[in-house]
Amino acid sequence: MRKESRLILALAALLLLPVFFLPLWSIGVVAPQYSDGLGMYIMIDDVVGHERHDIQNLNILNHYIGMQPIVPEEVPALDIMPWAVAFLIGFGLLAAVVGRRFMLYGWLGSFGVLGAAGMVEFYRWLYDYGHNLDPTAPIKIPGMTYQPPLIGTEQLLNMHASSWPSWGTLFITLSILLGGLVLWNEFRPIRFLQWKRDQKDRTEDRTVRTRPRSGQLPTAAAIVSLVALLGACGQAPQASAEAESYDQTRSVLAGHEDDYCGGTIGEIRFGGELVTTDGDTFRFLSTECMAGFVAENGIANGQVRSMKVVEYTHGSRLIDAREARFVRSEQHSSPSGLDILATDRELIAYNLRRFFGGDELSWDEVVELVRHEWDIR
Amino acid sequence: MSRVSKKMKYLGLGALAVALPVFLVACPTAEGGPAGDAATQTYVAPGEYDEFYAFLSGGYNGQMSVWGLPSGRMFKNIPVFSQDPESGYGYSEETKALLNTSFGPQAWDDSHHPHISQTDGDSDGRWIFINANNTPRIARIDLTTFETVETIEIPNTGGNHASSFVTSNTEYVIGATRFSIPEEMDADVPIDSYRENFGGKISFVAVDGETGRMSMDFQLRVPPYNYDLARAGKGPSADWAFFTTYNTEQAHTLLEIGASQNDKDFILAVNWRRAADAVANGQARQVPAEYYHNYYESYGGYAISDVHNDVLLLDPRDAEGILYFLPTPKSPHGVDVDPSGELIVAGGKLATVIPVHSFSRMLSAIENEEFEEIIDGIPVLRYESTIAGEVENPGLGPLHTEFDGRGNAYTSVYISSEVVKWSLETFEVLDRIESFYSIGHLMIPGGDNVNPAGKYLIGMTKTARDRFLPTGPKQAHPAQLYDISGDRMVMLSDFPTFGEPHYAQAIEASKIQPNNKRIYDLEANEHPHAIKRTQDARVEREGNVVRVYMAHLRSHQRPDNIEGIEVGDTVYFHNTNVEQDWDVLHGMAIKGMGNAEVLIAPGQTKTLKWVPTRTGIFPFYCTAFCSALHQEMQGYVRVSAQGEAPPLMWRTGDEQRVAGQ
Repeated sequence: MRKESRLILALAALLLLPVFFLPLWSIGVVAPQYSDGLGMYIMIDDVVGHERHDIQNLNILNHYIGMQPIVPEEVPALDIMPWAVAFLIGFGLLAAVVGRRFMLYGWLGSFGVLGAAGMVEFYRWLYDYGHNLDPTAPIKIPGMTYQPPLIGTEQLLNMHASSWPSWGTLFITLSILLGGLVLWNEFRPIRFLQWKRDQKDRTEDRTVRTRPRSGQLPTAAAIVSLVALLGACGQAPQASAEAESYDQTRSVLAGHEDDYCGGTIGEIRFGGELVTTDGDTFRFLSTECMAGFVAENGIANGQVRSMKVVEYTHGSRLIDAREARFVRSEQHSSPSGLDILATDRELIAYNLRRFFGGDELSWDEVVELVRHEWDIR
Repeated sequence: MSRVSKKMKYLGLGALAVALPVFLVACPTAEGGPAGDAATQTYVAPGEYDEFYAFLSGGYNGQMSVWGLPSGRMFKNIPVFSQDPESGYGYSEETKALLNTSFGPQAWDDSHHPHISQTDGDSDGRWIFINANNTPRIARIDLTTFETVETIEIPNTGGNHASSFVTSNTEYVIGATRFSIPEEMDADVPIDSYRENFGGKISFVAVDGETGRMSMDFQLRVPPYNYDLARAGKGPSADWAFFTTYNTEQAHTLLEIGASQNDKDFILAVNWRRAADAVANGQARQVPAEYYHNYYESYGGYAISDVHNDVLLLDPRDAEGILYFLPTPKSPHGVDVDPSGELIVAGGKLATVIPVHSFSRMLSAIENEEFEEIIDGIPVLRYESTIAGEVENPGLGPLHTEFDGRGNAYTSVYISSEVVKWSLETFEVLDRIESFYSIGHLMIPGGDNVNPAGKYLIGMTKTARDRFLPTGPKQAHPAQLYDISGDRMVMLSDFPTFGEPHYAQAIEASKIQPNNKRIYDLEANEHPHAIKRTQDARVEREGNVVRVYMAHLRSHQRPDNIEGIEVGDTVYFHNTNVEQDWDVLHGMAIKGMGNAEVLIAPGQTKTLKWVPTRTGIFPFYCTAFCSALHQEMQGYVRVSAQGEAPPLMWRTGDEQRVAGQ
């Protein structure tokens, strides 16, 4: 093996040392009652809480759905992993010292096998954790299992679970990447980067031997690690902000003339917006004005690019009128007198009817109602 | 004629000038809400925190409530001197001792003046003290758990009203007799021998700087007046404490008239540092005094009571240079020291001015011996020698003063029902604003210490009358929140309070919030009857005492079936909440228990005593909604007739155990 290959390989082996102190994986849950979240770190030989009592609290919560308590002493992989990593460090260093390529292959091979076995074992443990449910559990939901994702996020009942590799895994990744770099370096016809120039210097003038700039490659590796570290493994990603803000919707409607009923749109809660395939935009202060516009001009579906109404309870989301549920409730008064409220949620529509009375209508029914009420021919 | 019409014209202009700003202020905003500024200043959005913690005394409920400012939202009620069936405070075996006194356990008291511990004259947020007025005591509340952890009785004292004010490094928390009583303990004398037999006591309770543990250090013997309120000095006056007196007339009946005759009563100035030295030098004598000191000896165990039988009493006739009287008009109520420590403001309850004494003038008057007379070894300084100024036209019935740190003082004025702002430089009134109605104490966060946060002021008023939706003849006592950051005071909100707050304290949330405890550490629980693991749950019999070591966790008690108890047994349920999760509490109650529930915080052990008097099956259950299966958190105790009980056994699910096996 080339000299720099052996150096990089030694570095790769040593990069596994932090794995003994840093968590490999982080699994967290966030629930309404646990806005700060509960969670656990998978360490090389242990499972510990994000906070001191998190494991205990997770076990208490999970017993309701029959999940087995986490007892780190009973997870066999945690007994084996420290030896596996120690073996990789020792083997890697040995290979660097001996400098034979077959040892490099051996190291990379065993790294790959052990890594894969680790992931499989981890998955198996997660599977068992989520599926091995006590049949006498108080809360049983047919078909429901609670396996946390291997990587990523998932909604499990009221818990938003997330699972991400943590710092330890990052070092493992860096280690194997450096191992790959060694392989690549070995089969590259000439040395790369600074080494190339050193060799050139040496061939040109063997008497003035410049000191090989052996510091540069590790420095580059360190920078790569640092950047990777900084960008590493946040917990759960932010849920995307829901729909448009009030200000956005308001800017679409408020202050514009109603294109059918006339008058300026003030309160946007009842409003709507229709865009034709020609690109013309029409704005309305109420659902019934938009329906009237459609009825009067005989606008067919094919002529409409989008037709939206403001969701009533939210007051700022624009929803597709053809998908929306409308409730005609005399307890509310819309600006145009037909008292039509729009929503896209079944439950809200149900509650509006339950609390305020009135009928639920589809968009086509609204158009028919307006045609009838306003005597549009 | 022309003069009249001119006058009318001015009157009209004046009315317009008044009406216009009123109209501008009163005009509702476009959103239709209340005047926009006040609403937004007190609005704390969901999920956000208040800027200040406020601690309002409970007055006649003997408790203390915790609030947020500026929102005026109540967070907690801390039981202190009263039994509290909600939490089991004073009912559970652990807390009973905290209510012990030499007169037996007291189920109730009247708490007036909370005071936060101080470092260098500034509130440090470690503990808060509060007095019991009726059966004189001082309590200490730990501000990491917001629980009462210690009480100490003040002996040979009638009405501990001028309390519980701390000195500027919490060396002492002070107490004083509001009602002078016979000097000798338990003396049986005619009431009309008041002048011969009665006396007053000023008490200095030492506070351990590390643990906060209190101890009765010494008392000072003072003439038989009423000692009303107190403040320790600060900065240059830090070695001193000041007490108002009334009833220097020494009336013992119909004080309303009898104690209101003298033109001047006194402020008593006490050099406590010198007094402590004199006591250390052996100048005090031990006198009989029975008093209780109640505290937790270990983390999470039972509160215990030490009984003491004497107290060190220092007579000013035996030690000079400690006590001085400052004549002050007229039945002064509050005595407050400005942030610099130089000005001593008296609330001349029946006076037409607010008298302000100067500490430095007081010192020079003492040096020059400008004495009017000497009463019981206490020199009376000349009024002219100590007074720095008088605030004219302060309103009717000035009571208490706090400071904003910008050179202004704010005095509550009871009869004219207002807050008066005045300048510490010119002693002129700068602004006044009404209160609803009849304000007692007022409070600015830090307004009594060296570093006021002069942003808000709350006034605590004595009667609500028509301010809120009515609730029968008795209404809640209101508090008003004012913005005092500008030249003019602005009222922001008006909210009902809990109990009858007298004085209050407030502190920046940042001084308390980071130290808040979320759980009691189960591993550190030193309760002799705690269990650390659910497997240790068991029942033991010692004669006719049965101890149930019960574990509580979501969602069961362990054990939850118990048999082998008989009528005549005394049963102690030692309930340990083995959870370590914030705000997950369990409660415990059993049918017919003649007791209050116990609420058990995570990691805590609380004991419920039960003496069954009838045979049968007695259900018990968790009283705090802890979890989705809270309703399932229940159990049964079987009680048999005397001599007929089966062997003691207990069960949880499939696990069944019999005593001794």
